[in-house]
Amino acid sequence: MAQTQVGQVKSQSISEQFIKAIPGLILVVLLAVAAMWGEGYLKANHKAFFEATLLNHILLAIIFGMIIRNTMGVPSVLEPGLKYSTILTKTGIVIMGTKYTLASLVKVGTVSMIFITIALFATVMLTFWLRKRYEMSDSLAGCLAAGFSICGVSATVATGPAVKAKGQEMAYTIATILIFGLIALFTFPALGKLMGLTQNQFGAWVGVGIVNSAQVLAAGMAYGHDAGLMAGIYNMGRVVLLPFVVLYVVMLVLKSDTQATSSINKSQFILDKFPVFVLAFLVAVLANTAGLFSKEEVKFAGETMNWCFALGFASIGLTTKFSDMKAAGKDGIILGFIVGAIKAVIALLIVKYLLPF
Amino acid sequence: MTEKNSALDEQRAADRKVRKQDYMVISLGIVLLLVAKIMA
Repeated sequence: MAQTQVGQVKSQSISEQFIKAIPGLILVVLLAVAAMWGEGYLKANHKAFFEATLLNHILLAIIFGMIIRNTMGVPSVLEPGLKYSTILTKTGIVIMGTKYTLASLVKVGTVSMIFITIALFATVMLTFWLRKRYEMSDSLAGCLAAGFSICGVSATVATGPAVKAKGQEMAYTIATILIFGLIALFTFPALGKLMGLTQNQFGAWVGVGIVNSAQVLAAGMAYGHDAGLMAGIYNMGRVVLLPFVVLYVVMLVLKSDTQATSSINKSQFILDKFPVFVLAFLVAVLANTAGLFSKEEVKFAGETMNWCFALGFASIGLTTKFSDMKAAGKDGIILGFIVGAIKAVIALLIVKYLLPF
Repeated sequence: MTEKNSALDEQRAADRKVRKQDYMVISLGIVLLLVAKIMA
C-alpha cells in the first residue's frame, strides 16, 4: 500500500514535470519547424548563399534560438521545456547508429582511435602544463582539462564532483567550452573549405577539434552528410574514452593527496562514469549490419535523427545567454581557448597530411 | 570525514543523474527506431 502511494506521488511528479514542460517544448518544436523550413527555402531559392554559409537546419535552429533568448528573452513559463537538449541530441546519436555498419566503423577504427586517444590525453597534459601560468584552482584546471579534451559538458559534469569543483567552476568551464564551440561552429566549416578538406577529413577534424558533442555534430552536418557521419564516429570514439580521461584528470588533480588517490576504486570509477547510451548506438549499428533495417527504414530513421537534432539544437540556442558568457571572466577562457586552438591546429595538420582518408 | 563523504555522495548523485538520463535516451531511441520500422 505504502509502495503504491509512493509510486503515485512519483508518477504525479513526472506527469507534473511533463505538463510544465509543454509550453517550452511547443516553442522548441516551432523553432525546429522554422529551421527545417528555412533550410529547404535556402536550398531551393538561394543555393549559392546556402553553399557558401552552410546554414542547415541545425545551425538555423541554434541561431533562431539564440536570437530569441538574447533579444526578447524567454518567459519563465517556457523554461522547464528547454531542459531536454542533451536527451534529444543523445537520442539523435543513438538513431545515427542506423547509418553505419560494423564494417564502416572498423574501416575508420584503429588509426582513428589511436589519434583520438592521443589527442585526448595530450590535451589534458597541455592544460595542466599551461595552467601554471594562470591564476586558478586545481579543481577549475581539472574541469577545463576534462571539458576541453573530451565532450565538453558531460565531461565537466563527470569530473566536477570528483575534483571537488564548486558549481560556479563547473558553470564557468561549460560557458568557456560553449563560447569556444560557438566560434568554431561558425568558422570551422569555412576554414575547412579554405583548406580544401574532404568530407571525411573535415568530419575527423571537428570530431577532435571541437569540444562539445552537439557542436561537433552540428559543424560536421553543416559541411555535409558524410562529414556529419564521420564526425559522429569520432564523437563516439571520444565518448567511449570519457571515464578513462576523467579518471586521469582526477588523479592529476589529487596527486598531492596520496590518501585520496589511493582510495579511488579505479574499475568502479570507470564503470560508474561509463556513458551507457553508447551501447544503444552500437546496437543500432549491429541491427543495421545484420540487415534488420531496409533502405526506406534507414531513410525514415535519418529523418527522425534530423528532427531530434533540430529540436535539441533549438533548445541549446534558447538557453544560450551571451550575458552568462560575458560574466565568465578571462583567465579560464584564455587558457581554454589556447588549449582548444592548439589542439584544433595540430588536429587539422594531422587530418590533412597524415591520416589515410 | 564528513566532508569526504558529502563529496562522494555528490559525485554519486551526479553519476546517477547522468545514468538516468542515458536510460531515458536509450528508451526514446529504441521507441523511435521501432516507429521508423513501422512507419517506413
